[in-house]
Amino acid sequence: MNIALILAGGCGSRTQQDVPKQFMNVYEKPLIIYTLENFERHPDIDGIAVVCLEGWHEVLRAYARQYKIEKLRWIVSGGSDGQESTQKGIEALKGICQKEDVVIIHDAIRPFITEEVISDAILVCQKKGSGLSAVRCQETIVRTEDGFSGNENIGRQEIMRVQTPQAYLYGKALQAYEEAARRGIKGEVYINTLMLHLGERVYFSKGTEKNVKITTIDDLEVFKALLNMEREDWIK
Amino acid sequence: MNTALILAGGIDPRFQMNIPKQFVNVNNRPIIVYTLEIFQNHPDIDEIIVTCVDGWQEMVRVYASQFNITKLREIIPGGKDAQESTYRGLKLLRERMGKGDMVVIHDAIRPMVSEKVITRSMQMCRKKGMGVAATYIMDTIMHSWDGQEGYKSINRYEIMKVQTPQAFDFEMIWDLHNKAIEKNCLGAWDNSSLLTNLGEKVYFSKGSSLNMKINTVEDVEMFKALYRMKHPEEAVEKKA
Repeated sequence: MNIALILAGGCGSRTQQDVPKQFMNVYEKPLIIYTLENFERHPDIDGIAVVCLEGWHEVLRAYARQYKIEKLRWIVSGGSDGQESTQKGIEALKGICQKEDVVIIHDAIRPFITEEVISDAILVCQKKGSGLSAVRCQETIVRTEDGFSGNENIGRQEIMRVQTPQAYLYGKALQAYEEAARRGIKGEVYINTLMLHLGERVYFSKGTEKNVKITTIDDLEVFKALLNMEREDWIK
Repeated sequence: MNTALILAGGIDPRFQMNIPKQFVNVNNRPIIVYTLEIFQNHPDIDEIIVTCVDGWQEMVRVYASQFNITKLREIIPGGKDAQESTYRGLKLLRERMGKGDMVVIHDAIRPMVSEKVITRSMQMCRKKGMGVAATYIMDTIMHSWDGQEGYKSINRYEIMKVQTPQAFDFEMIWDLHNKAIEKNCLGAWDNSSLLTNLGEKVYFSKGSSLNMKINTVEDVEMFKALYRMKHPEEAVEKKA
């Protein structure tokens, strides 16, 4: 069984808008619905769980009904940070997933992914224990301490940009959060860095350049452009 | 004096068309013209020079004239990489620029740069001698040698993704280029790398995620979509 776990617990402090990003409308549809549709459409996804910002569960339910996201079966509240939120999502699947099942963790604010990216994450996970969609960096990278200046180049060929979806064997994911609780590990906002922290190995799967994480208003423009591109291909 | 130096000398062997990226037409205009227009309209840019793929100078001249890029002064052949192309541009400007003048270097294949991003790089340049447009990367970054397995992650607030424009005090960048040649420190793919290769500090200004580099045919399509979103009044190019 493959279950998608969508992280929508963030409150969007960086965009300085009142509406949390994942619930911002783009052409009348909330961002999160675009995201959910990718998993709804995917033939290998059996169910969808969402870790949702407090106060927005009913909104999510209503839009999911409207847009026929029928695989959405579980909505849980988030925690005080990324680590807590993901943990709550993983724990909510305790009675549902076996340890060899695959949980596909994904940011609600990454609405533009392909079927191939989801498939490859699952495939690599089944082979190696985890599949993290990732791409190489195409730009020059400079190390900085303050975002103001820097003097050290980092080779593009030495690093990967890690995105979501990230597929993990459910048993390993659950174990990771139990271990983190036991050891009092806090502030590991992302599961992939938590895994590394605990000495686990992580493996990459296919990513895409177009997998924009919506964090600024400019990113919303990029997403709209991607939608318009798609629309035109369809019209042709 | 502030001069824009537009780098249009590149040929990307991975690009799927025979026409160099910077000359591909979108809505009846080569991409480079969009880039030139932004610098033409910028109130603090006094003139523009272009380093260009040899053989395409005439086309650039003709389109620039057609679209009233009156600030365009010279079009010269580029070099084998960004470092060489920049150096040729700087050499040309040496006759009339010096300390206190600013050269704003920008990739022709970044046509989505905004006036604000250019202004910010120039403002930083006045303060620190340079302003290199850059942004944070919002993905998690992990070390990986083979692209298969991930190792230690780098805090994404500890790295910057560099773009153009890159504004420099003319004297300073001219001296650094000469120093690089002396030390045989060649082949930098952008001017910020030239600096870091020499162990020099780079000062950043705020870039934008919209300020994308056109690398693939899909990026061309993306640019087309973004442009049409901004200019719905312009007639859509019909494909034959």
